[in-house]
Amino acid sequence: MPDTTTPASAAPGAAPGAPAARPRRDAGTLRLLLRKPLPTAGLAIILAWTVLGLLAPLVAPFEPNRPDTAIKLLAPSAEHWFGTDSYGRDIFTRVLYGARLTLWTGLIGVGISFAVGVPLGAIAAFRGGRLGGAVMRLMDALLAFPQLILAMAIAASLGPGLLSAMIAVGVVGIPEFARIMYGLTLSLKEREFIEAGRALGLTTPAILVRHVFPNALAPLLVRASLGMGFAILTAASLSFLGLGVQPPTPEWGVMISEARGYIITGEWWLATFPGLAIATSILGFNLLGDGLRDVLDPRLRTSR
Amino acid sequence: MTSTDRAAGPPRSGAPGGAAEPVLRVEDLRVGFRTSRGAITPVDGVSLELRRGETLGLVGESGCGKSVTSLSIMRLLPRDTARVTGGCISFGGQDLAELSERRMRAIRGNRIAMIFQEPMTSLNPAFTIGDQLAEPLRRHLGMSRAQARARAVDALGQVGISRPARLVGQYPHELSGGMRQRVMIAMAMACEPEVLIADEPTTALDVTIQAQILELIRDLQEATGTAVLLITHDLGVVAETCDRVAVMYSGQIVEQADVGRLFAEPRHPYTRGLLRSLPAMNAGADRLALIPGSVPPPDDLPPGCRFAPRCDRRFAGCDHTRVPLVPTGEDHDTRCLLYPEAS
Repeated sequence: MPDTTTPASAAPGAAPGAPAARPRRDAGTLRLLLRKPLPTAGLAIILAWTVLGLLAPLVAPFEPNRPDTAIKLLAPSAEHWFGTDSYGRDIFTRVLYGARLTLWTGLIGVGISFAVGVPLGAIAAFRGGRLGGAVMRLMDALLAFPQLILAMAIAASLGPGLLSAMIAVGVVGIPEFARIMYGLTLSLKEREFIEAGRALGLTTPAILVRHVFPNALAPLLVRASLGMGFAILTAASLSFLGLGVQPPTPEWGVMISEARGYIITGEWWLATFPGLAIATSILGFNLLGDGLRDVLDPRLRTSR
Repeated sequence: MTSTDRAAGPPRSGAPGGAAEPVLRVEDLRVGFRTSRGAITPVDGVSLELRRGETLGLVGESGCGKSVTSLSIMRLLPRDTARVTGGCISFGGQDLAELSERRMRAIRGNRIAMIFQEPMTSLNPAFTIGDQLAEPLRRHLGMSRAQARARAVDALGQVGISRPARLVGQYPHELSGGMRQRVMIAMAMACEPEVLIADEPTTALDVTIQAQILELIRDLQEATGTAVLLITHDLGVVAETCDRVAVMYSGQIVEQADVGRLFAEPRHPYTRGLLRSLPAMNAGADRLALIPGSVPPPDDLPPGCRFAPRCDRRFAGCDHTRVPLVPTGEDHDTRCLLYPEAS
């Protein structure tokens, strides 16, 4: 259930699948990140959406799903900040409730991509040979599909719904993570500390977990953050197309889908505000991802 | 072989008596590599013996098979391209080739440890020094996190690092090359291995640090009785640290002797050439002697003596016969037709 979203799950240090990093390092990364204005803005946007989504039941002025035809299609006003929709539901309220669904979908989607793609890429690179080749060709095959079309095919075959949308978004993202991890592992495995690890008697899984993964974490986190933006957009697109979350659930893609008939008749607020919500949350993750890319360089890290 | 003779210093010259039983014995080792240009044999019939507490220098230029030999001992050759095609490596009386991968892992880093050439890249940049030092201790000695950390601090103290308690929390990039090599040595010696393979441990360091590192290895060796296989191309390092020397050329050992004897009366023309090319403080020569030509490519070796094309004392027989490594004096083996087998 989306309601179980915890505040930590949207924090940058806790990208899905990442091990619990020690507080010291997190603090350093965060401090460096907060020195730059754009990533700070990105982080602020994400935090704002997270808090608003979590506190939606407390913050939202109205019920998200109760129709009231007496007040339908009202323009934005002091009472209804974002106006009301064709059933008289408050759009501001629905956008807030939509935030938690959206973030949750993004997290699960990226989590699936990460949890499947990273081990696949690592093993393919480490084992190499026929197995590695086969895995990476499969990834190439997945990448050959336009991503949205592939997501639609998967969601449609699983049957419309929130879970299908999450799985579809997750599967579509797997090859990206696999390829990044593949490349990183290929270069890392030639490094001397990997050989030194072998000379210390470590097993291959231990080397992958202890020596390869931590050194690949920075680019993976960057990808995860950028991937969140993509996941949010894809999930919203699936819902818009009727393959994801179903009405009347307050979800941004669903809201735009319901609003599309009113754009030309003048009720611009129906589609604009959910659209802005999608745009800002993606912007937030992209700004954060770019910032992380600059900051998460082990050479910039110190013990103090 | 027992812990009571730990305190005994390393036998400087082929010490007689009980210490003669080798810890590590490499016999007629052959390693084959598959390359795009066909199969090559970078190590072709290498035999070595390493006794407890002794330092054996393995000398040769790049590509002569020194490192391949050491990786074969560790069983860390790249699995898909390299294969031990002959010979036997026995450690403590056990054939290493027969061990399961699991039992081999229990030996690596525990009973046979290794130091690599590049201290700058041999440490994992993502972990603190303390974490990395604790790794072999926890893995092989089953220490708890706290125990391993305490032991790591001790170990850093032993390799001459001041304020070790502070260093355990630092990342590798905060350390100088010499410091990192000390850390690598501390890691390698953490489990007090019976054999330490040091693959060009000082090549990447500047000269003053080199001397310190070599002295450190020697001190630790005296304290623990570890046998050291020192791989190097630097005869100066050999003279300073080794008890015995094996000179490798093109995958074969061409001369093997006690260190004093090798420097006093080198026999093989290659060894002589190497010694001639050492810069000497007191010599007035303004140009160093060179060995003309270069190492034969491993896929196109001369049929006779592999050094013959570059040899200044070559005669007709050199090009046709395979030259064996034979004892040519007391504790002195040479692979050269000029030196017939001593009876």
